[in-house]
Amino acid sequence: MYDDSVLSLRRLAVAGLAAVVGWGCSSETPRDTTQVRVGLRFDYPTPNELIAPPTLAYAAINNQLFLSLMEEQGDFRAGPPAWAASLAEGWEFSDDRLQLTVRLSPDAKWSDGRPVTAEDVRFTWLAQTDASIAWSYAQYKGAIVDVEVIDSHTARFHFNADLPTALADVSTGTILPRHAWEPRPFGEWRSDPGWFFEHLVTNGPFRLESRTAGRELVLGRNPNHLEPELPRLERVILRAVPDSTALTNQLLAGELDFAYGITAADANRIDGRPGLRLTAYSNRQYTFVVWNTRKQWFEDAATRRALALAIDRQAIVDTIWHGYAEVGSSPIISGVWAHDPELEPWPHDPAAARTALAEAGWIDNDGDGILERGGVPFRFELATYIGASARWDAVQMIQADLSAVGVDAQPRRVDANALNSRLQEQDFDAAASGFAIDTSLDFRPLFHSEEVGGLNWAAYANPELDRLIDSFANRPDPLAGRDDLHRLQRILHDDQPILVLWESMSLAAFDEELESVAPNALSPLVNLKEWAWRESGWRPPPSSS
Amino acid sequence: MGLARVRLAAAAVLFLIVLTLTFAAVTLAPGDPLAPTDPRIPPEQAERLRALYGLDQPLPAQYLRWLGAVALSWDWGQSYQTGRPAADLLLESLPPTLLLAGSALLAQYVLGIGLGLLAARRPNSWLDLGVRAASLLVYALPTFWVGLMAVLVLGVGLGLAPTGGMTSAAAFELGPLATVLDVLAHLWLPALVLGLSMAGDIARYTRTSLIEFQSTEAGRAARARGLSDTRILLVHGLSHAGPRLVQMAAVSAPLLLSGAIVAEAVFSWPGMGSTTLQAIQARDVPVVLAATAYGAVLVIAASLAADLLLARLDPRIVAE
Amino acid sequence: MARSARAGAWVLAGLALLAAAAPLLAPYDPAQQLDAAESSRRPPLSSLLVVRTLAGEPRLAEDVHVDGDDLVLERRSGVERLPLSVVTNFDERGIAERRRAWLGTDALGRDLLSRLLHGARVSLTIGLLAAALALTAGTVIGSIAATCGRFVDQVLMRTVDGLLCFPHLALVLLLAALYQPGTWLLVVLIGGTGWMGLARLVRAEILRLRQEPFALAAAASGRSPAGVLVRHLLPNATTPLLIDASLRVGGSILVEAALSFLGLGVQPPQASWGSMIADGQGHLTTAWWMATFPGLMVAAAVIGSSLLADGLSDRLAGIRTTANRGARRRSPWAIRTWLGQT
Repeated sequence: MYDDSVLSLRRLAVAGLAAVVGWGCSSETPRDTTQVRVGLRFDYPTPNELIAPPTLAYAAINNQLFLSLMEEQGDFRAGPPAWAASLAEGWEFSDDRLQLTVRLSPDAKWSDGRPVTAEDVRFTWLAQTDASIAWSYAQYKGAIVDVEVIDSHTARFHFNADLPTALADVSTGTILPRHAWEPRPFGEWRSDPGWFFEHLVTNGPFRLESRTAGRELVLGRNPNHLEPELPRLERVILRAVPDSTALTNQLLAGELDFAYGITAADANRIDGRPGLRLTAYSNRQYTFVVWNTRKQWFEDAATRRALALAIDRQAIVDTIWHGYAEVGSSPIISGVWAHDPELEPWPHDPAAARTALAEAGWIDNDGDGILERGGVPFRFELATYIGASARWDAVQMIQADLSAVGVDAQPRRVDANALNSRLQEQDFDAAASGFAIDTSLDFRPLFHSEEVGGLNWAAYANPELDRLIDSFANRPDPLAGRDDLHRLQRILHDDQPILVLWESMSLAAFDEELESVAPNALSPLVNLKEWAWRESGWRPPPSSS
Repeated sequence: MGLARVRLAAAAVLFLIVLTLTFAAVTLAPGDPLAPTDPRIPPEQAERLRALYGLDQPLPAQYLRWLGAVALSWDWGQSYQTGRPAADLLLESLPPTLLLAGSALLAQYVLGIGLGLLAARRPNSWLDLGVRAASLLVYALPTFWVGLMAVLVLGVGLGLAPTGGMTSAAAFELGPLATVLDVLAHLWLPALVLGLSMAGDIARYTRTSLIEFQSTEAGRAARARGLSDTRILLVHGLSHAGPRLVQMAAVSAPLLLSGAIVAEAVFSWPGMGSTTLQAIQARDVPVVLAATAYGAVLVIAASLAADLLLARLDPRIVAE
Repeated sequence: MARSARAGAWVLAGLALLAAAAPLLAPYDPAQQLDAAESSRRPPLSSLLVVRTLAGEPRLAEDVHVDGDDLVLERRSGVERLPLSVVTNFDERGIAERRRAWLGTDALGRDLLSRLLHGARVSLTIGLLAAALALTAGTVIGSIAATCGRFVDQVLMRTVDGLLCFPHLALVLLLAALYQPGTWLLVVLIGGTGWMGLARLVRAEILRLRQEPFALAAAASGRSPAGVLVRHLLPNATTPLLIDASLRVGGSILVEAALSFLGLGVQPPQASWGSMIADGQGHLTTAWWMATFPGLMVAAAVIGSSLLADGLSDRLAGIRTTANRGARRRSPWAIRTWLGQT
């Protein structure tokens, strides 16, 4: 009797498990070609971008719901960013370039059918610059002194100076719905981010169909979008996937159609998998080691150059990125028009590094294997962020390379907040960090001597570089400043306040039946409205149920 | 119940103390939780946010304001990351965690008692040794490793379970029954993995207790009445071991919550563990504080519930 | 079942021996990344040829052959040619020197076996010291609670009750994230949050033992309460304390591993088993050995300490013959609860 009961229990358990499991993997149902499932790491606590977290993933999603006046184009090879019509169908500068008149497209409508007007444009500017809203990117509106409503579809921006970045400044930030959001005073915007979900009208290709906080957003086609034939998909399901291994797993298991944010370590699980395509593209980011020039080890350029010679960056890139990154030579990365192609990265040459260090006064007098100068051993802390696994690996490889030339770098992981504060206060020795290149190519925040205490973490000060930065910023036509920027890169290359390790790529992967998927540096979802399933070649698999 | 009241009062005092200490730890730690992560955002922005969140005031004033808001209106402040009320974030992630921890508890007891029974039937048989060895092994292997392997083998490799998350895409449009099945399909593997490490203990305890019982007078009496082994163990043996097993459930509540942090990370489960971990990583002070508090409240509630249940089952233990 | 105690002790002693002898046993320098691009993520039992040259670091290759005046190295990324004249260890038999990865290599080409042996030092240190710290703190606080009057007892025990209500992993995680611990601070964090169960145990043991004839006699003979405590009560409570401490060694190693998994474990140049698992978790699908071998080492240490505790508690149950079965076995779960095992 006992055995029987166990057996039947076992049978029951197996049957129950099979039922649950069988249901769980019943993905044999025909593909729904009207929708796509996208996985990425995101947080979308509010549709109001002015009070939202300033992240790339947020912007990628929000730009499906809201449009800017003009749309930045993702190719920076030929010149500074170009701008295409979006909500604005045309614009023109006054002769002194202090006024910009923008004409809105007559087809631009909110999802409730009302037109997008110049009043919306002005309202948006008022909100963007309101102190109590405290928008993260408010500084881009600093040169705009007024937005004038000429008529319902014409607005005029007034600038206080002639800036090369005028169009970028105008089109930073999306246009917000005045009729829906004006009832709420600006002072109360930050106190309840959820309110905006309840008062949501959009002007982008999509509208918000539903959401599960923190997990899932469903975007539906906006029938009032100004390009009536787009989007091609009826809806897009965005799934929040917190880490890249899980992302890859879900893609491989067929739970996602598109995944963004895949690591190099996971890439070869996807590469060559039938039915999936992996794509790598420059994300405008570069990773570097910053040397604190206020510390005795890094005060002279000769020593910093010697360190560059000692570090085998090619091996680091090969080992960590498996070909999905390139050794960098300059903070103006190679895909950008102002990059100096004649600049060769410092080679890996330990022998030359040893000689250079000796010439700079670093000699191992006490025979402990570590160089000294003036009684100070070459031993310092090389910090990076907790959770940054590629940088962490790189830091450990740098430690090994440097120890081969008698330099003791001690890797340390620091919490991101703490490290950023320490970097700004020059309370560090050396650190591995990364930046996305600002396409305005304004290097003032990073290297100008007046920015020490800000992002000039190295505390680097070079009068010639300061002059170059100022002179480039004052040119109305950035293209004419190419020589300034080449000279600037040469100086940074010789002085090495930072050692550029690599220019990285973003990896995305998707079902190869999806067509027109073209993520770029601006956003992984940049042309989401054009995505569609290839109708031909797709046949529903035989259904079992 | 007098004891329970004393405990509750003591817990409330400690709750306050630990929250105060946590407040001190997170606010005094090096680094600035509002420092912008995007280098293009100027430092003045952080100043503005600091003023908005009241962080420009002296620390004692911040503390009193925070404590006042919590005590008077259970207002834990707004998340620095998302601007949403911290209490909302916790409340949203509470049900998934309760579901996961509850199912893990269930899995732990079903497996543990089942295996314990099997082992106790023939002490020192191969089956017994196997159960004991297995229970030791599942305890000794780090849960996250077991979880990662389970995802890879059962999820990605064999397709027996979804690889993560709590629901399928666009699950909101499923019918009620389909929703339940969908959640179950996502739940069983993480619950099993989380429950497994403790199932070993339950199995060991059940086994020891049952073997002990068989040598007691009650056990011999039951046998003398001609009851079958199975019946003796299932009915009498388990009621002998019952109170202790209930107590184990209470004690394992904080353990389950700690385990949930790891299990949720492995299985992308959208619960309190994930929320807490993200908040800690992003130094989202209001959410960290709220998460600490909610975790503690859960544990206190669990242990009170167990105390009450225990008082019914076996008054002697409460008196102890 | 003293057998299991002995087995557990042997396992732990074996691990300790491996840790102590790590520099002798480890085939390579645990931090060495020789030609990392070639040597990274090599599976267990694989080996690579070491081609030494006149200048610079040696190059590694899967295979080599001679082509004219060049030595052709077959590498993962393709072939590479070196003039024979610069190769120093090539003779008629070819290249004799091999770098063997018995347990494979990690993502930076470091030898996993060597790292495991050296990592044993860090992990066992953390496990033993954290256990010792918890044992000390628990004994002191438990003794105070049991001997210093009802009020002190109430305050301390209610504190213990309260502290047990907080999910410890969350607290340890928070502190680790805020203050970036090294090995020593980790010991303090893990040990310092693990004494509560022990304090309770010590208090209960002392209260029980105080009623025993030998303790009553000692008290009657005019010994001071502290003297009775130290000379008579605590020595008789050693076995249950050892059981707890033994379990806690394994538990502390597990906590350190969990901290590492969440990115907050030890800092290099040290590697612990936990940090090795964490390093390997991103590569589980492509290089299973990186996380699996350190995972098994953790399991071995935990099993060792559990077996030891089991054996000890069986012995304890055998010693206690009085009707007072207060020596109710403390199952491992009760202790792990305080550790927040994961």
